[in-house]
Amino acid sequence: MTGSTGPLVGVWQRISGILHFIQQGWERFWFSPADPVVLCFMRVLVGGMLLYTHIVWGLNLEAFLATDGWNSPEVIQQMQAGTVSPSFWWYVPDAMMWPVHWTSLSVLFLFWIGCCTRITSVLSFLICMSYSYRAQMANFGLDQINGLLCLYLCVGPSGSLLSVDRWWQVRQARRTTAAAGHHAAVPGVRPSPGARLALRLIQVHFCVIYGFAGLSKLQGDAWWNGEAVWLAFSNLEYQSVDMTWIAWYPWISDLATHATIVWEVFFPALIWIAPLRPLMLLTGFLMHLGIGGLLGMWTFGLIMIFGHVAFWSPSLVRRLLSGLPGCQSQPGSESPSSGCSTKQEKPAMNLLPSFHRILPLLLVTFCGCAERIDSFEEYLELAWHHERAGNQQQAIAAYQQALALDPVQPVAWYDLGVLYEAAGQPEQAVHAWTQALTHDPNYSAAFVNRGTILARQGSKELALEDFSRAITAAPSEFAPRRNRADLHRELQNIPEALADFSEALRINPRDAETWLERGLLRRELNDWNRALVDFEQATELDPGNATAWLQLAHVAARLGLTAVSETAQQRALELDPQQAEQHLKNQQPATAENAPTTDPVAAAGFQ
Amino acid sequence: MAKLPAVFLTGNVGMFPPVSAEQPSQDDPSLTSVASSTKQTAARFLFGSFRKIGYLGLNLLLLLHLVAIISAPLTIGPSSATSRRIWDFFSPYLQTLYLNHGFHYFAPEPGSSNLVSWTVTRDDGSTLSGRFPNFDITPRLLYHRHFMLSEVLGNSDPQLQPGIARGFARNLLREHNAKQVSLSTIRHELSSMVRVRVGGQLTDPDLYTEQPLGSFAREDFQ
Repeated sequence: MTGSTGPLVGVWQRISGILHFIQQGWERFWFSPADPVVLCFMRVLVGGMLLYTHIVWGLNLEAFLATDGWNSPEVIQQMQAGTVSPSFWWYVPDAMMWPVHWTSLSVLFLFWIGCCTRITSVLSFLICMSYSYRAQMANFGLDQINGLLCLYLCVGPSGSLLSVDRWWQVRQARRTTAAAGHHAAVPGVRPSPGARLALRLIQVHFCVIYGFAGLSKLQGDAWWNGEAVWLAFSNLEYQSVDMTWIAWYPWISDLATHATIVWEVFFPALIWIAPLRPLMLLTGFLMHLGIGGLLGMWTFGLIMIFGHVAFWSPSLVRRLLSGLPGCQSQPGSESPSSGCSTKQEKPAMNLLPSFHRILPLLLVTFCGCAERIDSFEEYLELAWHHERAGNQQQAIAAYQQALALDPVQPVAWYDLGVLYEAAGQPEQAVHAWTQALTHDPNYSAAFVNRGTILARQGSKELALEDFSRAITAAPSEFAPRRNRADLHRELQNIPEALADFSEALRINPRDAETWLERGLLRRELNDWNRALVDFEQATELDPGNATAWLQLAHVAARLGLTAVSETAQQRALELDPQQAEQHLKNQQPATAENAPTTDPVAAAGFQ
Repeated sequence: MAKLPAVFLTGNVGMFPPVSAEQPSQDDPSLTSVASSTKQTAARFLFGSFRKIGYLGLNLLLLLHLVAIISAPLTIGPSSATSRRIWDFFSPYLQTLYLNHGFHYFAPEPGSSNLVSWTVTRDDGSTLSGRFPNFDITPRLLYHRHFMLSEVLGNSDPQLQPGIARGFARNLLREHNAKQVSLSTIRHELSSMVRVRVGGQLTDPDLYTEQPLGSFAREDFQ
């Protein structure tokens, strides 16, 4: 019996030992008394930010909080439907906005200076939350961090130092001791479990913030390919300093992007490793300084830095505040788990003196790594840039340089051809499209464009062949079918032309011009009834086409539809009196030849 | 920098005041009678029990708080059904404490921005046009508030957008004492590095796409 329970007892003892260890660690982590100086210093920083934030709300209070302001109550209530979104602003009539705002500012001021801190901290949190929920559409990260820091400052004794409360406490104590005839003593401030709890809550919440900020970024390609920092800097609406020079140094964007990801993702783990803590905080400080200085979000950058103060050791805070009398560092006050010590901060600081040694090397590297235009994509981008600016010849030159680097790019050849054609260089255009077709034999648009130029140059058979190959490559495309129809008509291949017009209209029945052209062809064949239908369709789809109305008038007259003819004639007169009068004067029925239509070959145009 | 009075900050951690005389210890010689001793023991037991329960409650609350603050960012899509269920449970708590945030800053990646363009017509027929955010709005925090407004409008759910636009129109009518206002949202696409290298500007016109949101008259809101 004893032999069988012995190991179980051992296991149980071991488990209970581990549990005891965890319990002790948990208690030490959350509740071991801490010097409240860090929390109080944070109150001063966060309180100042809260006050500033709310002063800025007041610069246009009606716009942000009034019923007829940006944050329409109906919309906000719709957004917040089904949620708990407490805000006292819902109960404040517009007429009372300013008194309530001034009262709020007064409370925030009292919190900032640490007056009745236990009460004003809670009130400040309620104020912060109420403004944020009411003006929800104008919120951003600053308001979130303001809210959570203020909440946690309510938990601990954030007014026990650096405050009016402290001043009052000391004054009272001095008065009492003086009245008793003793030497006036300054009462001490106990390390507080509440201060520890509040600081730990801030620390853990910041780990959650950075952890999720980092992990969520991993969903985006730009955070992997190094482009993200560039994208942030190239956003004109964020930018407060022109950082577009980074375009010539993509490696800066790459490094900053990767560093951001590494820092954010690993922050929740590395910040607890004492020797790494100064480095993590320094990196965070620089990152948020960058967000503030370069992306114009000073308030957000600063509030994040203020949150980092929770990770500072009390001795560091006291040293920082050493200019204030009576705030000497207490060597014995620091608990082992309270944060970084002076020793741990030194390595980070020691990096600075050696920086000047590597500066020349960095400068050489920096200047030598400037990106130049030397790839196909960059020349292509250059060509588009010149095209946008209307610099045709420069665009052609850029395409040529791009294609010299990578000649197997049909789209670039095609675009070059289009540019040549627009510049009045058809021979080069044909050459470019031929190159495009060499690399993509099914490039229907290239066939269409080359065919169009060839037809203009008189090589009608070759053009016909190009249109046919374009149709084979893309049977459902309208342009090659329509162009071939025009060419067939020109070559007097009437049945083929009619078939192509009909097929083009099946593909795109909304093209009025094609209805008109087929109508003209049918009229030439004395197919009056069908021509009438085509002209009716053309006028219905494009009621502003005077030619179509004239043709309809003529065909209707021919068929004895006097009313229809007169109406159409009247409409043509309204739209184009000159053409209509000429037509009436001549009393000549319009023919396909004299009808003012578009260039039959290029009717569908270039693609 | 002016220094604060010495008493303002002074707080020598470790200077514990003497233990108060009102707090009787177990060895207090004044506790002589058995009855009072029993009462004291019972009181201590009760106090100790409450303290223990309170301490356990605090720890439990702390644990739940940790789960809650993780559940908020965990629910931003893509998310699992379990994380959404946890969020459903904790959301009233987090919303009440204004901790319902996703913290997905610049994620999944920095994107294009949205602006709002407007033209108001006053009673005398004169018109005034503007756009926000614009760098004339100072301080920067106020600029950023306006930027967030235009971002919300530009990225909003199509069902919500008309309502938001209506609210914006009402505010513009009030601010400019106008009789009519027309609104548009403008998407400003980002420029690539290569484009900038070859001479492109962040303000190139082709990077802006305007989408009209309609016209609103003062009478619409009466």
